[in-house]
Amino acid sequence: MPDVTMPKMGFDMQEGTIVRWLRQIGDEVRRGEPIAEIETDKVTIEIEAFDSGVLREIVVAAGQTVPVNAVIARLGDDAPSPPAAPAAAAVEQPSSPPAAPSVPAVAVAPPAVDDREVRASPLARRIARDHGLPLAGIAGTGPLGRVVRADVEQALTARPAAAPSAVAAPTPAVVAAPTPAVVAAPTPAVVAAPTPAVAAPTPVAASPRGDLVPLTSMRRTIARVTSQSWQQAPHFMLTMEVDMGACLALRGSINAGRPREAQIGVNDMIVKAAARALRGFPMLNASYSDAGIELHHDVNVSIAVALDAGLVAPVITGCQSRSLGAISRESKRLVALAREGKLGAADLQGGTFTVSNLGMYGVSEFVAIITVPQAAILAVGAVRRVPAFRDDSDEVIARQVMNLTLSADHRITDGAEAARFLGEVRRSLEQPLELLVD
Amino acid sequence: MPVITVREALRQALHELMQDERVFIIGEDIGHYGSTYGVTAGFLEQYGAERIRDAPIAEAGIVGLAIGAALVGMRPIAEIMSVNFSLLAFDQLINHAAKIYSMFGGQMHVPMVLRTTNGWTQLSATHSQSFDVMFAHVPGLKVVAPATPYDMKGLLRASVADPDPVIFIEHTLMYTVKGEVPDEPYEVPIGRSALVREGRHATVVTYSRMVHLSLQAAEVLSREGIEVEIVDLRTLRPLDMSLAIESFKRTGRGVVVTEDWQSFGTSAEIAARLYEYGFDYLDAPITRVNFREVPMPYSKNLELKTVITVDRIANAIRDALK
Amino acid sequence: MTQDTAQPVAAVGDAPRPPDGTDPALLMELYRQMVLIRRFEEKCQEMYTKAKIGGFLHLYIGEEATGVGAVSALREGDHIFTHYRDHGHAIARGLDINALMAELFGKVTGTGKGLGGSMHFADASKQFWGGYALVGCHLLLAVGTALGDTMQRKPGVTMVFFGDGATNGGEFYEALNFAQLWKLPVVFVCENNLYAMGTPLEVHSSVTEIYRKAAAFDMRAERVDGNDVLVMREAALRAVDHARSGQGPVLLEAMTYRFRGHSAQDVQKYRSKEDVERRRSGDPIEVFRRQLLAWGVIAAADLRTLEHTIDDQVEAAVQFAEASDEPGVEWIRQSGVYAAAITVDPPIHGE
Repeated sequence: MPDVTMPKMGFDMQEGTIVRWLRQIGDEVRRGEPIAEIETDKVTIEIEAFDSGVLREIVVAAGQTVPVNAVIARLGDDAPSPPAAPAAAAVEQPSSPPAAPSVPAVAVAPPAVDDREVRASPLARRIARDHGLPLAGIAGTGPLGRVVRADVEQALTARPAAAPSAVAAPTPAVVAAPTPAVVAAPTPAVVAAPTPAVAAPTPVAASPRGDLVPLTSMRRTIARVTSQSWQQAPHFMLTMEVDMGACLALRGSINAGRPREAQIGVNDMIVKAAARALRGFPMLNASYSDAGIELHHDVNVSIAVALDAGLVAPVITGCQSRSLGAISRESKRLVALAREGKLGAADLQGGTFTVSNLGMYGVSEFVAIITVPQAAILAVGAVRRVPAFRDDSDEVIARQVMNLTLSADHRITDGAEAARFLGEVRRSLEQPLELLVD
Repeated sequence: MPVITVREALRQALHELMQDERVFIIGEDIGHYGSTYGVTAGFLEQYGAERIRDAPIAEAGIVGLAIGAALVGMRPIAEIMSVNFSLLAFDQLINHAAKIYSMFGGQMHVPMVLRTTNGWTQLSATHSQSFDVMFAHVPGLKVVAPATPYDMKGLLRASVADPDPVIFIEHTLMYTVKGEVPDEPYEVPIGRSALVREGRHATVVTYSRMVHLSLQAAEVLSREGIEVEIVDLRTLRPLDMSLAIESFKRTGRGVVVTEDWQSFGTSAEIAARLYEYGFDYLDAPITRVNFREVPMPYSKNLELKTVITVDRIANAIRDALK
Repeated sequence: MTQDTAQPVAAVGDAPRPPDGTDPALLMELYRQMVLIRRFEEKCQEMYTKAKIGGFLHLYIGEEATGVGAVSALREGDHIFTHYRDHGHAIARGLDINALMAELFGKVTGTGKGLGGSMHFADASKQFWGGYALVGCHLLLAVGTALGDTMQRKPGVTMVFFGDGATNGGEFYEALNFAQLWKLPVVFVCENNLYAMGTPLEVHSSVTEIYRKAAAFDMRAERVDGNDVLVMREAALRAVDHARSGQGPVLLEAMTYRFRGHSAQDVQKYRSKEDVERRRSGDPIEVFRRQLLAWGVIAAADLRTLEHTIDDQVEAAVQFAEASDEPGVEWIRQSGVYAAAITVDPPIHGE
């Protein structure tokens, strides 16, 4: 009977606490499926079963703490015996109750919809599996509501995010701001023809207390990626105020006379400034792994784009060698594709740093969640007109300022380095002619 | 290239094959009567009674003698005018023709061909059956069932040249089907399927006469914007599913059309292979079009409801695309 | 009574001398074959009980004179088809007993590479086309080879063996009709051992004189004492000559008796022990042995030497079979089923 032991979830983990069991005694467990949630001194995380079988015994109850490698449960080989005894046995032991789980009854939340329970064609399953797309939530148009290839393909063109491998490779695709405002962004026109299930989530179940809306694939991905980041990457945040006066003036003179579709945006200038600064701060253009910190040669800046159903973060690649104009053009192209639901996998892969901007919603400053395994994300607030003292005098003048908040992964970089990087971004923006030099 | 009928293509092939002294034809009413379907009409006069052997009505004997003659160097072509009569010869085919090569450790082989026909037209219960599956079930037999005049000629030549026993299945309703056939001799290899129509929405796997009905159904559907791909298996054993599976992987939808009963029939094996090799490409259950499972009724209206029609094929394809 | 209609047991056994002009070497060869068959099969029985041989084991013991006498009438280029009780005919035709024992052991050195077993001995090089196990159905194959020979203007005669039980099925009549209709050189040898498996002759056949069945086809037929090897040989020579001369087929009914059960697991409820014992007292091999000694063809000591040599050969065959390899898995692929190259096997699961 294979034992389930307290896993070592980090190099310095000594012990772990069972938060809750995700499987009950008698449940079938498959290799790779989460079996319990544990808490270490750093994270709370689901642990996987390494063997398939039936959960026979829970050795360590929820709430208890045990050292790494301690047995916490045992799996059996075969299917659970049926709860009701055969008739003959029942006659002999009429009062014997059916075998009951030996753990205290736990209120079990309604299980999430398992893909295996979704009626789908094998082809649809394969395509969805290849793209890491959960089938639950895709409306099936085949007989009896079967999800068929066409449904999956439509969902793929409408969805924002890439495969689960995004977490392992430095190719994050989804970034999430912690504010619900992003999801509820009042831009109903921006999503082009997603599947009905994505565009208009309809409640699948109602109770007196509210409605249950099924998770869309985009929602699932956002949930997974942000949870993982928040749990695994120790965030620290620095905020710095930038005087945007010169920047806005320069932008005005550049855009004067340019057609509307070729105009440079503030965000473009911020991306350019960040890209310039990253060249001098390789630790902020890096990825963390247990093996080491990988420094990326290219500066690929992900830009968060809000959609009705969530958000996506297409990647402007090679920003270290792109001019401001090139960055602006690429940004416009990606945003347009994102809103039409036409981003390809290539558009979403390879980001090394993210810029997220909620300034247009009047947010003065916010903290963004790092898109692991990137090292940092820059949250951009609104440009505000504030009273300020002119230089060293007591004269009060109006200034256009903007708050930049950098969230950085403490495993990779530290406060002082991050602060110097943020200062470099500010310097470029306050002396914006530099943005035109290269 | 000349356009000729299936009958004419078979006659051409047989004339060519008769040039080989080892080849002779044995069967019922192939000579004096003038041949039931006209395939060997005039052969008796041309080649003589020794090589165009009018046999007694004794199907086991016809096949048994062919096997024996094949063992000693002849290339017999046995003819059983209706596959329904081949039931009388099944022991010879299955216990002898199919076994002699392997059972005796490869010492001898049986290069014989059995030509026979499927078909129906108000012939009722015992004269309208198809036993393709019963032949194709048996390791040691080869089973070909061509659809076009070109394949008829080329596969008959390949069958007679083959060192193993070959069941060559014709169809009484196909003798007048026309197609291009080169004058000169050629072989179509046994065990190779053919793609007869390209399309992207569904894959129809079929053979023999059903190829023609499936093509007609495809034309009907084409007007609705549905383009089906059609694979003609041509040989049932050894079964070449490569083109069918390749096509199925492109379309994700499969329809199997075979003119026999559905239960445990040829379509069951074909569909099973599609499921087996194409599972991850399956976008809908595979649909099958077959005879209704009754002894063939005599009455015309019931017969037409029992057999396969272009409409039934088209509807099955539409079903597969739902 | 069926037995009464049969030829008396060993009718020629009391003849004072061998038929005129018979070569003593031939007599010795016939005796050698009969003893070799007997010893080979006794060893088969032993190996069967030791589970070295599987499946069915149908022994020819008691019927040796029929097979040896009939086959001795054939020459090179002639053909033999037989039934599942085929050991005797194979040995009489000169098949290598090492290969035969190896076949019984299921070894690759067997006549059929271990694929056929006891019922399916064959050697194409000797035109011994094999033992067939569907009663009466192989008669048509024999007519077919005769047809093939005739069309190729070859002088071969085809001899086909079958039992009394085979003469009630349709194939027997189809075969006789085809052969006589086309005047094909076939010698049909019916080994009438009085039982179709375990069903007595008078229970299974409306006509118990099997040779009379040929009358329906105007075919020449003869009933002979199959337990006398010389009588059998003489009758077979007449039949073969007739067939080879283009006058058409012959049906020989050879009266004989099987001393063992139908197969190894036969408890023989259908006949009495006494009946079998009475028959055994006229064992064709013993009778022939006495004749050879009486005729002065060979001395007793030389006979014993011959018998020891045969024992040694049979023992060597067992050792050969034991030492041989089992057949390779290529025989259970499609390539082992067809003479033409087949590369695609149907899907196989579970391996």
